Amino acid sequence: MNQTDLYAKLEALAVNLNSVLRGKPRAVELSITTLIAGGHLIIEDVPGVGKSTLAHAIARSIDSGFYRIQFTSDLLPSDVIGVTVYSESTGEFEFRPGPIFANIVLADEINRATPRTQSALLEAMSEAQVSVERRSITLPSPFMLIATENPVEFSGTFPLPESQLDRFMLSLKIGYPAPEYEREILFSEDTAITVNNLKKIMSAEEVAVAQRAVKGVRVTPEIADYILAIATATRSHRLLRLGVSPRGTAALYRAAQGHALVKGRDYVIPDDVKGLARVVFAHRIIPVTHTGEERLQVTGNIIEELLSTTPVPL
Amino acid sequence: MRVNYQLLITYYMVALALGAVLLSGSMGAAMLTGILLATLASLYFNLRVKDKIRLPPWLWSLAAAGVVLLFGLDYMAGSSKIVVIASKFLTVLLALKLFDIKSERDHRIVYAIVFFQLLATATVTVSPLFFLLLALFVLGAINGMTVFNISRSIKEQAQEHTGGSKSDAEGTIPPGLFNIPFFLFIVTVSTLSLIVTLALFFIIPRVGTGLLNRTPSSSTASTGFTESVEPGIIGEIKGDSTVVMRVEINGERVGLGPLYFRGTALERFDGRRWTRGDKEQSLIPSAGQSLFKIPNEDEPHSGLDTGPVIEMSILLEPISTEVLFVASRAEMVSGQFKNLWTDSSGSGSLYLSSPPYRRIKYRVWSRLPLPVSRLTPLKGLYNRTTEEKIVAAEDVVNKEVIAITEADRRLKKLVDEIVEGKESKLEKAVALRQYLLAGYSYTLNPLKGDGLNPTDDFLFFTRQGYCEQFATSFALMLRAAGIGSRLVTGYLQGEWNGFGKYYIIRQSDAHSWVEADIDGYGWIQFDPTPPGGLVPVAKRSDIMLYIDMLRMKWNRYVINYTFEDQRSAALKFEGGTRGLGKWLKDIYEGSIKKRPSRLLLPLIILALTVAVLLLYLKRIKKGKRADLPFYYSEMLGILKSEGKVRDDSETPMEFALRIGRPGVIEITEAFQKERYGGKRLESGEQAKVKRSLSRLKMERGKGRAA
Repeated sequence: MNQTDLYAKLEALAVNLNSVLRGKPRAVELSITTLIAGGHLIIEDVPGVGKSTLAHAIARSIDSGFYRIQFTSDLLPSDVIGVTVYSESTGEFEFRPGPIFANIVLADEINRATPRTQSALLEAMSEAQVSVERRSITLPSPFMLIATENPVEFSGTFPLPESQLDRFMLSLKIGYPAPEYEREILFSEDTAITVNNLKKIMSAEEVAVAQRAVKGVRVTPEIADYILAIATATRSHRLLRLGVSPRGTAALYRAAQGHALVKGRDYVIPDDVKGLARVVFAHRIIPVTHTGEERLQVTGNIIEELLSTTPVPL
Repeated sequence: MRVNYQLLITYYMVALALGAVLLSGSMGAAMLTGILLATLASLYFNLRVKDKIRLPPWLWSLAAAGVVLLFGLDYMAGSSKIVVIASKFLTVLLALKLFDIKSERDHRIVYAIVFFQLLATATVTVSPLFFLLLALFVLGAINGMTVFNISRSIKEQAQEHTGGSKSDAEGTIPPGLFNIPFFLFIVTVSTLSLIVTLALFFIIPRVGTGLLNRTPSSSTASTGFTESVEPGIIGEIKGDSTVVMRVEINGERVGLGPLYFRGTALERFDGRRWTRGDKEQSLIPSAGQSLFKIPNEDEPHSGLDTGPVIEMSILLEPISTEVLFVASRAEMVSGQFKNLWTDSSGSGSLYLSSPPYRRIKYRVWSRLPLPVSRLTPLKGLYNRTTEEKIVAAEDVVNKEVIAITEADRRLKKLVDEIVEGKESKLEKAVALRQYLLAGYSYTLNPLKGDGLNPTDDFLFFTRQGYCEQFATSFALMLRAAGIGSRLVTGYLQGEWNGFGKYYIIRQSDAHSWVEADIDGYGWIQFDPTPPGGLVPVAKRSDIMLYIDMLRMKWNRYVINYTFEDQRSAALKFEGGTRGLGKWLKDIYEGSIKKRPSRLLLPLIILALTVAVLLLYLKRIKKGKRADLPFYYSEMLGILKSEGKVRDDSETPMEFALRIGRPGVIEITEAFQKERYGGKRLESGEQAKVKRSLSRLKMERGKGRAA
C-alpha cells in the first residue's frame, strides 16, 4: 500500500464514520487520528450523543475483532481479562480470553467500575498485553481501547485515577448535533442497522501499516520545540496543580503525526499541534480548584489560553 | 534566426575578460591558447550539446573546488604574485563556468567573475586601454541586466496567460525587440550614467569635506592658541570645547605626567605682550617619504636628562595658525605636508607653509622631558663643566631672551631675595618656581589690579591668575635672575578617550609654560602653573566620548584614508600570507620530508578541529531559525505594509485564513510544504506562488490608490 492509497483509505474511513455520526467531522477525524497513532480514546459526554455509535462504527469499518464491555460496579478484572478454567477433555487448566482480546474494545461507562477493575486495563493500554497467572499474553494488534464516560451522573461512579487517564491519548467530547443534523437523524434509519451495514474499509493489517507510516511523518525540530514549549508551560501554570507528563508530551507528538497523515500530509505543521493540544492535554492536567464535571472544560480553557501566548515557530 | 541575447552578451563579457588578461600579461601563451580553445568549446557546448546531455550538477562544484585547491597550492608555493595568481585563477574559473550555464543566475556569476578579473587587472596594468575595457564592461553589464529584466517579465506575462504550466515556449522574446535603436538607447544610458558617476567622483570629495567636517575652519580662529600672548587680557579659552587635535600614542596612556603639546616659543616681551620676535625661518630638509628630522641644537648630554622616545599619531583639525603642534621635544615628524619650517634660532618650534585648511594627519617621534625634580642628581656633571658652560652660555645666549623691562626694579629685588644662596641656575629656577607655586593661586577670574602692568599686579597685588600670568611672571623672574627664558604656548594632554584609546585636545586645554636655558642641560621645560590649572576643565560623558571615538575613526579611516594607508594595508596582508606560505614550506622541508610520521599528530589535530567546527556550525544552524523562503517573507512584508501582521501565537495557516485571500493561502501552503515538509516546490507550484505574489503586489497598489 503506497502513500496515496493510504490517504485514500483514511479518507474513505472518515466518510464511512461521518455517514453514521452525522455533523461531527471533527470527532471522526480525531478518532481516526487516535487509531492510526496507536492511542486510546476516552469519550466524555452526556448519554445519547453517539459515543457508542462512534466506537461501533470504527470497529465495523475496519475488519477486526470488536468487543464491548459494559462497565458496572460489580464487574471484576477477570470479566475483562479472562479466566483460567479446568478443561475436562484435556484435563488441564486453560485460559479463556476475556473481551479485552479484540482489536477494538469499547469500555462503556468506564467510571462505573471499581478502581480494581479499572486498573486491570492499565497494562493492556500501555503495554498491549495482559498478565495472567505469571504469564504475559499479548493482545491482538492493532489494539485500541475506546472508553466512554458520563460526566453528569456521579452516583455510583469511581472517577478514573490520573495514571489511568494519562494512558488515553485523546479525550473527546462529541456534543449535541446541530439542529439540521438532529433532524436528519430523526428521519434516518435505525442507527444500529446503519452501523451494522457499514462497509469494511481497512483490514487490521492495513491499520498496522498506517500506524507504522505515522511514525515516519516528518516533524521539524522547531515543531518539536513548540510541543515542548506548550507542555512546559502547563507545568508552571498558576492555575494548574499538575502539568503534562512526558508521556503526555510524547502523545501530542505522535497524535500530531497521526493528524498530519489523516489530513493527507507526511509532515506536521504547527496547526496539527495547536489543534490537538487541547484534546491531548486537557484530561492529563489537574486544575487547582475545579473538580468534577466541569474539569475538562476548565483545563481545556487553560490549554487554549496557553496556546494563545505560546509563540508558533516559523 | 533566433538569437540568444543572454548568451551573446555573456560571451561579449568573456571576451572583455580575456582582453584584460592579455593586457595584464599575467598568462603565458600556452595557457592563453588553452583558455581560448576552452571558451570556443564552451560556445559549441552551449549552442549544440547542452540540450542533449545533462551533466550532473556536482561536477562543476567538484571542478571548481579542484581549481581553488590548485591555485591555493600555487600561491603557497610562492611561484608568483598574488594578483597574477588571482588573475589566472579567475580566468580558469570563468572558462569552467561557461560549461555550467543553466539559469540567469549563472550568467550573472559570469559577469561577476569578469568584474573581478578586471579588478585584478587594474592593479597590474597602467595601459589606457584598460579604461576602454572598463567602459565596455559597464556597457555590457547594463545591457545584460536590461535584457534579463525584459525577457523575464515577458516570460512571466506569458505564464500568467497560459496558467503557468508551460514555461519557455510561450516566453520567447518577440524578434526585433533588441534591435539597433534598443542598443543605442542602452549605450546612451550607460554613457550618461558614466558621466554622472565621474562628476560625482570629482565633486563629492570636495563638497564632502565641507559637509563632513562639522567644525568649519574659520571658527578655530577665535580663541585658544595664539601666537602672541598678552597676560592682561583674559581669553575665554577655558570654556571653548572645540577639538583641536586627537592624539594616539600606540593606543597607550602615557604615565609620564601631563604631556605638553608644544606650539611655538615666544621670546620677545615688550612689557605687555609676548611675540615671536623677528626670526628667520629655515626649511627642514626632508629625509624622504615626507619624513623630517628635527635639528636639535642643544643636544642633551649623555641622554640622562630626557625620557624615552614616544611615537604618536596626531590628527589636527583645521586651525588658523601654521604652527605644528608636537609633544616636546620632537625628534622626527612625518606627515602629509611637503615642507616643514623651523626657527633658525633653534627654538624648536615647527611651522607649516600655510595654516592647514583641512584636517591633517602626522606622526611625531618625541623624547619626552623628565620632570625637573628628577634632574638634580646630575649636579656632579654640572659641577664639572660649570666654568666652560657659563662662558659658552654668555656667548650664545640671544640677547632677547634675557631682556627685561627697565621699570622692573621691584621684580629684580624680589628675585634676588628668592635666589639668595642658590648657586646653580637650575637651583635658582627651581626656587623661583617653588615660590610661585607656594604663594600664588590659580583662578580663571583673577581680581583686577590697577591694570597698568598686569605682571606687576599679579606678582605683588592680586597673587592669583591663570597660566599665562604664571608663565609670564616666571619667565621674567628667570630673566631677572640672569637665566635665559622663553614662553611656550601649546596644549596640555587633554582628555583620555578610553573607547578609542586616544587623547582629545580641545581649545580649553590651551596652556602656556616656560622653557629656561639652564647650563649643562639646554632648554628645560618648567611649568609654573599650580597643578589645579592643569586638569581638563570639564569631563565629557561616556556617550560623548564614544561619539567622538566614532568621529575619530571615521576621519582616520574614511576621510583621511590615503593611498599610503591602502598600500601599507595591502603589503601587510600580502606579507602576512606570503609569510604563512614560507612557514609551511619551511616546516615541510625541515621536518616532514625527513620523517613523514611527524605529520600525523598535526593532521589529527587539524581533523579534530575541523570536526569540532563543523559540529559547532551545525549546532548554530540548528539553534538558529532557518531562513524563511523569500516568497513567504515577501508576502509577510506586503501584508505588513497593509497593517496585517501575524501574531506570534498564530500558526501560518491561521494567519492566512484570517487574511482570507486565496493568494495568501496558496503561498502559505507552499511555505508549509517547503518549511515543515522539507520538500522542494515543483516548477508549477513555483509559478503559482510567483503569480500569487505578483497579484498581492498589484492589489497592494490598488489598495493604496483606493
